[in-house]
Amino acid sequence: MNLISKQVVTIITESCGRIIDFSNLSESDYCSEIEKGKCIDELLPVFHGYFPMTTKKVIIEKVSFQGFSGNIVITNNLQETIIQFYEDTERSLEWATILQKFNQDKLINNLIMKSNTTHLDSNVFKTLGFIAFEHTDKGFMLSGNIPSWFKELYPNYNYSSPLFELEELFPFLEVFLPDATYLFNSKSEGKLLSGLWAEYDPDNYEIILQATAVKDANKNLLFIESITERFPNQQKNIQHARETILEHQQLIKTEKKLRTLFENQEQFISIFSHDIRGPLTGAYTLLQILKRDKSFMEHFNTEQSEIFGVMHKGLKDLYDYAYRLHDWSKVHFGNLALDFSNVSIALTINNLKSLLQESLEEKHITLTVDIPKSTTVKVDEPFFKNAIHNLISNAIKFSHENSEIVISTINSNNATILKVADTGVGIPDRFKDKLFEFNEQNSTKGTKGEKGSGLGLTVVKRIIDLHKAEIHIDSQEGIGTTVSITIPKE
Amino acid sequence: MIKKKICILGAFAVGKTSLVEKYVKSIFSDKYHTTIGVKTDQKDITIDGKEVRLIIWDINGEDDYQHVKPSYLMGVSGYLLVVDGTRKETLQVAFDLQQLVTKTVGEKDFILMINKSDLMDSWELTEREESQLVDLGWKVVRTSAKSGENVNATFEDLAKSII
Repeated sequence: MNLISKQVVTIITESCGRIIDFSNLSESDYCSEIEKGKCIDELLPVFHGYFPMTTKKVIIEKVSFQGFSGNIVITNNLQETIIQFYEDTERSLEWATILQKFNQDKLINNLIMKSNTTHLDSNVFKTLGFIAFEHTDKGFMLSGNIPSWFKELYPNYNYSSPLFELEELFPFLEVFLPDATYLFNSKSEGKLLSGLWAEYDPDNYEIILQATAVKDANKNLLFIESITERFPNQQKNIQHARETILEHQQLIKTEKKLRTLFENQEQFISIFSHDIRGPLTGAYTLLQILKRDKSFMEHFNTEQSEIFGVMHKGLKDLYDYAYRLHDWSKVHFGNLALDFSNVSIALTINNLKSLLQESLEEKHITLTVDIPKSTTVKVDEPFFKNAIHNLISNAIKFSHENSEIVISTINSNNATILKVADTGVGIPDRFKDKLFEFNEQNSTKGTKGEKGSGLGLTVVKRIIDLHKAEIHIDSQEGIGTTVSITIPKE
Repeated sequence: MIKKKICILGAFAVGKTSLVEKYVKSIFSDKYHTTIGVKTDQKDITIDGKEVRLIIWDINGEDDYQHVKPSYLMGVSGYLLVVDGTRKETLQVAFDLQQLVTKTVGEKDFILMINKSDLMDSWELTEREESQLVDLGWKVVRTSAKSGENVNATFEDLAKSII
């Protein structure tokens, strides 16, 4: 016995028995194979069946194996299991106190006490749901009565002999009985728990069993207990954990698939919106040239002129849509790096006038720009221009004929507030909280039936967000709409 | 009668218990019911005129909550490794368990069952991966506990190889 009693050998494991750490290992045989990462119940058969731990504390009393003789305390918490080996010498008195306090296994102790009497109490096992056997030279001999679960499992069992072929009845025991025999042949008292196993009765009802080998001074006993009634909690917990893992794995896979789909969609929209712009621009520009060519238009009669007008408008809508789609894909999918510079708002709007001229003239709308040329904002010019273009286009779309759109600024120390105000139809309340969401149904026709893509304001919002600016829309149905953009000066 | 112990091993929820139930009792349930510990079952079959009793050990799925105890492999004649074809990650568990068996009881005959072949729409294992397993010298069979595809044949192939 090499264990130094004051230096308690301590092994810390995961709840499954896998060794995490240890301290005070002695030179005893049982310590020689202790190694991190290995399972304690595989290294030391005495622990067979104790893992995973289902109780907070277990004491294995008076056990001897591979150079150790004494008591073992297994303390289990949620994070780890601590195994302490106590040599059974002069500390036994102190140990008795610990036993009294922590012993969780009074049931087996009671049974051992009973077995120390002249005969085993035949009814106690049955009442407790155990089938008990005494291990003799001849084999396993039934001690006590037969519990109901055994009768359900083997309704036609022939009880003519008190000797039971346990491995025939319970094939699982072939892996437990060698360890149990080792315990029975040892000199010290102790007990050994098996793992759990399941058997089925003739009605296919599952019975969960566990065996306990007990050695005391007089007898070698083997108990088999049905834990079917206590089992559901453990079963339920592990099942729940595994179902959660399966759901989690499924979610990860679904997310991956969606991401791929989304990336493909991004790529498709980006390429499509980019590539379609070229031919559309060419066709639309040619129609514009022809429309302005009076000598060409003179050849058309009224009906042909109307057809030409419809063609022109249809192509313009398509052309606008392609540009907006491209803008939208650029600001939503692009890997954007903004190039900030000081930009004059008045000049930017002036540059946009040629693009807006046709629409303004069509509805006889006056665009008033009440902004000093010196008012500048620090923005990415192309994106900023795009946002302003979208806002003015929207204002034209929803303004009545012969009305006015006013663009103004307010300067404060920290920010410049740009306002685009119209006296158009205003925004119905039901749309107000969804203005920046892309939804085709959000798109409403303008006062002259102008169609929209539903993309305009989502592009503006994205651009404003990229600039860390803020957008606010104040609108009253029938009165008009004012869009305010607050652009920080730093 | 010859008795042979075979184990059925794999990650959790790959369908081990369903395969055994299909083989032994010809029943199938879609409901997942995790196995705690070991379920033993047996089936008497005749192979080449010999009566054989297969003692089937359906051992709890391997994961962080439960590990296959090497002692359960004692006396095994052959084993079935089960992978869920719709969950690629279960293949690695099969690799690990194959190594555990070899380390514990030495080389034993085994067959890899790629289960849930009735769910081909969700299949994750590629044909290339399956052929790589064959290249390793593994016997690989697609099975379905639900439809019964290759279930009996695989158990009996294993039985033939171990008697």
